[in-house]
Amino acid sequence: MNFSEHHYLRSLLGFLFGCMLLTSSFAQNTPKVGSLLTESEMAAAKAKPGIQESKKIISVLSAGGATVNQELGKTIWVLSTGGSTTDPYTMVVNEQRAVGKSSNEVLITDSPTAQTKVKIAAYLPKAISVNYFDNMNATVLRFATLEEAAKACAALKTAMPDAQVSLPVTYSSPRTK
Amino acid sequence: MFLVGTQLVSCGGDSGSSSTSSCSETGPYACQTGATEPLYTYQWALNAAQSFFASYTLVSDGTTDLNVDAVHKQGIKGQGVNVLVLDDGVEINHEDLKDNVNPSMTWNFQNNNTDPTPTAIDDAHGTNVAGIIAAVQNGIGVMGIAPRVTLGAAGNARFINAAQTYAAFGGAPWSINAHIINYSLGDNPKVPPSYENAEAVGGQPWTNLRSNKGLIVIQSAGNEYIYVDDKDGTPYRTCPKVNTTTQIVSCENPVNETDLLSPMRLSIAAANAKGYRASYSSAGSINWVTGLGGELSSTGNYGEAGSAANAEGPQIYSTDLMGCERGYSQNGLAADYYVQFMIGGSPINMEKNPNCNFDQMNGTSSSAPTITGVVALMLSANPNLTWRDVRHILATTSKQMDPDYGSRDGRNKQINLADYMFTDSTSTALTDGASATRIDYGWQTNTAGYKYSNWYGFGLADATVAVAKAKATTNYMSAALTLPAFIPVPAMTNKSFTYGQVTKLGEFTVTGADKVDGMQLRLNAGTKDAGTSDDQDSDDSSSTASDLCIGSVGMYVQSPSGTVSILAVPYNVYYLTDKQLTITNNYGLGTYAFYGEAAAGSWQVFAVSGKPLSTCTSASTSSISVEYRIIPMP
Repeated sequence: MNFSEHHYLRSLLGFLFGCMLLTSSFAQNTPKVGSLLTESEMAAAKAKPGIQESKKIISVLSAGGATVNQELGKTIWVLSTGGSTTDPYTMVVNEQRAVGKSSNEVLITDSPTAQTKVKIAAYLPKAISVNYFDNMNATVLRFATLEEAAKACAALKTAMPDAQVSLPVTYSSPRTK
Repeated sequence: MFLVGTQLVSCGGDSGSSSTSSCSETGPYACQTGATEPLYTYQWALNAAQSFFASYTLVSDGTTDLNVDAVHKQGIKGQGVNVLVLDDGVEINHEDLKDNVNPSMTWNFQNNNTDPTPTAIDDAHGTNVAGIIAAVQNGIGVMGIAPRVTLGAAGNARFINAAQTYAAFGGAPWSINAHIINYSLGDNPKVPPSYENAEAVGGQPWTNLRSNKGLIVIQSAGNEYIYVDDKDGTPYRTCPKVNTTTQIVSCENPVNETDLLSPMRLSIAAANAKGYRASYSSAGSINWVTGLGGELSSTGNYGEAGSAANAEGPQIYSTDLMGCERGYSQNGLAADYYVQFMIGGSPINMEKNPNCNFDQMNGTSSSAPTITGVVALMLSANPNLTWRDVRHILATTSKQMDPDYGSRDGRNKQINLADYMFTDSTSTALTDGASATRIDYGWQTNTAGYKYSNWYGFGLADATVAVAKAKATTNYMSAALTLPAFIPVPAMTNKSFTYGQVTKLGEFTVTGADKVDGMQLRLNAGTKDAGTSDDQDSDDSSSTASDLCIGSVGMYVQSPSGTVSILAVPYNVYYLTDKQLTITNNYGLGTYAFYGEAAAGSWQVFAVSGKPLSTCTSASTSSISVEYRIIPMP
């Protein structure tokens, strides 16, 4: 199991408990992927319910909770959700104040798709799409919400210990060079 | 497909455009150079000596090119090679591209249809990229470096998610047959990015592509040597001046585009027509080779005005969105910033480019496709090359250029780490506890005999030599690639260092007979559990927060053979951020300076640190944890 991915997973599982409680203050004007929140914006984000993780547990912080910085860069807050039923996404911010975007995907690599199909069968009814890349031993499941993706990811990490299972979040904003 | 030995064409001609030896190409342009094209004289990257610019000695040395013509005279022009351009779009019906376009290799991510032609009038970037590689030899406009490749393209290839990324890089019917992908896009993250994506942990899906010989991805190194333009309305990000001057070292490090840490992506720097690094071309220890991108500014009729010393000169001529209402050549452009050739309705434009279908473009966006074109010629000459063969041939045939840059402008002097001013010493010593050291070693020859430089990688590509070596290759390197896990070093876990001096963080020992392909580090502020070599897969790894002013931290590595590589400089792009960054996690760095050296022995890692700004909350000392991995040659 991948260290960082699992931390992301645990973060997401945790903060998603609270993300539905977030107000729409950022949803109205969510910064772009790759941008940095200002200190005040970050403070506002941190004042919302979030997730703090330690080695074994995920704890949900109450609004205005304590400093959330024991796990470097592993704490993420949801800023907003958006898109459409076929193209949903979730905007997040990490501890470094960088804004990222998840398409509510679960990425499974290093696993032949024939094997993956068996393992993910139980999650297909909830997924809004699935893409198999047979020639690259990769599969991408997509869900309506990040919470659903996180739950599926957690289970698939256990069910597919030899594969790489992750929740991709991009903080990148590529430009023409 | 490339035809072998089917016909010998008549040779001769008066322009030097034709072959003088046997050639198997057929057709009206068989074995002829780009001299058949009306704008060939401006394509200095193909043949500098015959270029219009050769006589303008302030912007051109008349010799710096990719040595392409000799390959074309052999009739090798990219036949049988599929090139996919991932970009903002490509005008696939362009008069100088359409004959090479394969409609089954096109896609548009915005509309999910098969037409990648951009709709925005300024989205001409991908059309330029495509022309540099693949403009048809047809007596019209320009000629690509590989004018007989099969061209595919995807538009709106930025901001795509994981499923779309896998589709773009060989996972979709329209991309699965790509042999080479050109990716002239990139990012400059505002905080040190984490290197922990699927590729970082070993997933290398591209090795299966191209009939298990591996996909080749050519990517821009970046244009941020002097400053970073985030293009989001915020002020340019800059770096501290060295000795009160700029341009001593690169502001941005290409490695901050973490995708470039994949050995299967080749980071391409840019040079100008004078044979120097283009003023904007980002430098760093993961650059592979250099292509040609021209200069930052270009004026005069065609780019002949000004001086390269002032970042002026010709750029790379190519295809533009057709018409004078779209693209980079347009009506109403200002002469202060554009060459007459591109200004719709100007006398030069009316004479040479009346429909504004052609233009010039700079950047590592342009240098990358020049290398894509060279690689297409190599694969056309020998389609059995694996992706490793391709990069190895590039590394071993590229030319050392600008050999003395390491001592120019005082670059060979040590700097005082406390104030970033030059000292009088030119010693290359890297001494634990020292308050001064070098920040650039220029060209170095490692103990495997390879010349490497952070500015130019292994040097400027030479198509003729590369193709000759490709043709001669019969023993192929393995296409397999398994990236080893990062290994924490107990001696370099939560290791204290002092700002303003050199701190030897520690050593690690490697055994075995491997030779080095690449070497990578991952950094964490404070503590990251040392654990085992499988730590990255651990459920219980943890870190403890610690202040770390990453903008002040340079990282140097010395190999067992004694070669020193600068993976990051001590006053880098994160130094002058609004508040210095105090944390980082799994920040990745890499180097190819040790290519081919024996891996066995003791490796030494140094933090070479500047003095942080007061806005960074760190005290005079800080702590860092280091992981490493040696990526072996097969």
